[in-house]
Amino acid sequence: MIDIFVGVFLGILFGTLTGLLPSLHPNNLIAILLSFLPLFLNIFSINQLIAFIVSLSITHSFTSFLASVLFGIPEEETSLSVLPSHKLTLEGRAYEAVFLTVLGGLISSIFALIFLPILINIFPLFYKYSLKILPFILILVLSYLILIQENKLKSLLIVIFSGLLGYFTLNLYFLKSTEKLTSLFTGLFGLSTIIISLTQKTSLPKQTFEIKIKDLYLKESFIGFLASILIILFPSLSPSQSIIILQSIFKINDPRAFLVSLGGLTTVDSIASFLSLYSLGNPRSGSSVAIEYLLGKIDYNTFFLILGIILFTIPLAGYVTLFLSKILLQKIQKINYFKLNLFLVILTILMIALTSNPFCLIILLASTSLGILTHLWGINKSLLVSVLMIPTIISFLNF
Amino acid sequence: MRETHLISLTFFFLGLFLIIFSYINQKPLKLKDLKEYLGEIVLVKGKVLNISKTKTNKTKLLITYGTSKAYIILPYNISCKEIMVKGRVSEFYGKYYIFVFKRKDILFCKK
Repeated sequence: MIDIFVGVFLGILFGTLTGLLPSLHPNNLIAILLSFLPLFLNIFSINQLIAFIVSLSITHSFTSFLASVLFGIPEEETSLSVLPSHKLTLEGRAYEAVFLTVLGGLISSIFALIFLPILINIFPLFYKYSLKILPFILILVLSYLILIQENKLKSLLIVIFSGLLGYFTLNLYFLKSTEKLTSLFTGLFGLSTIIISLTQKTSLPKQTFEIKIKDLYLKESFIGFLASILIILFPSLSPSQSIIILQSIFKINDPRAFLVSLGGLTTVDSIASFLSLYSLGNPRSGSSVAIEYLLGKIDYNTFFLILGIILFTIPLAGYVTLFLSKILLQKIQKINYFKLNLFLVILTILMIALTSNPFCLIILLASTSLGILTHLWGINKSLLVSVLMIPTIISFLNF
Repeated sequence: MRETHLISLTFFFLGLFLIIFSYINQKPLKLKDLKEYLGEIVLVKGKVLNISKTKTNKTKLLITYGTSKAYIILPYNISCKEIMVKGRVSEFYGKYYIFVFKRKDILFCKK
């Protein structure tokens, strides 16, 4: 039993690191683990490695918002959090933004656990049919997103530009998926936002650590949970696409409500990837692929071991995220925000240059330029997720 | 402001042009590098050494490119001397497999 706790604590430690360091994803660590598996198996037991992978993935789902909220550098899952969290940060409420994502993660996880028995039985029934209607749902969502914009022509152009960028980038087979997605999303949502902050000479206002929340955001957490169910039923739907669909349906315009839903989605998405492996035999994340690689098909007992690790990790990861955000925000306030942003621009470019194929810098150039253009044209940045939606539609329509 | 729009558009199209250029000119992966691409979709090319069937009756081609070898698994009957495909990389017991799912992913088949 103690060996499992060692694995969990290591997972939390490394999950915190992957959340804080832009461009470092759990998949990078998992790839290293699998590459040197015989060596790691000499040091750790299989259960320890499972505990490590599960807690790494769950912790990252919480801490990934730190880079997004504090520095404006998102990943695919947290890309849409940049704008609402940036808004709260500029109001001096960055800590509240992190708190809301953690709250969403905690409450949505409770929903996930309550509905677990139903989900295990229902998923296999729906899964077969969902793939057939996916492209049509995506076309509807995209059309809806364009129609609700003020400037429809420019919105359409942004969708076309993002679609072209996504299609050609995702079909570059000499690059790994994480390299492609990291460069795309860092440019579209992260680097472009920081560069705009640099040009506007934004300064970080005094931050407050007082939380003003009216309720537990049960509805928004449930939406986060529902969004993660959509991802399982429609496997090529990305977390950001899924949340946009539900955001439109339930008309979530308040940035606080949106952050709760997104926090919920990100954490339940991690849980759901293990559920998907158990219920459908379909690993949908790097961590579930790694578990499948270690164990093959997971049985009932292993699934409940994973569930136990998840339950143990969630409150700890939530606490670590809040604790760290408080410390980091206190430190950041003492730093010149312009210099910090400049440092982040250099760090992001360096991280991509050092951890990915050099060609990713060209993707970063194109995606950052498109992110800046979208801002200059006054178009909602959520349309930039066409970078994934258009290639998905093309792929499913068999062009 | 207008200049910033133009600069962004120019850099975007410059980047997009380079990406499309690389997309058109991308070369198949060397089979010895497959271990770094587990779970990824890659382009591979090679001379076909042997054609057989899997237990599930799928076509299995043993290919070679340089000194390395790998298997291509296809759901179709096919016979080629040289082949280039797009497929997902897997590894079982130290052997590398490229799973091809759609006919259009067979990019080249020299009879």
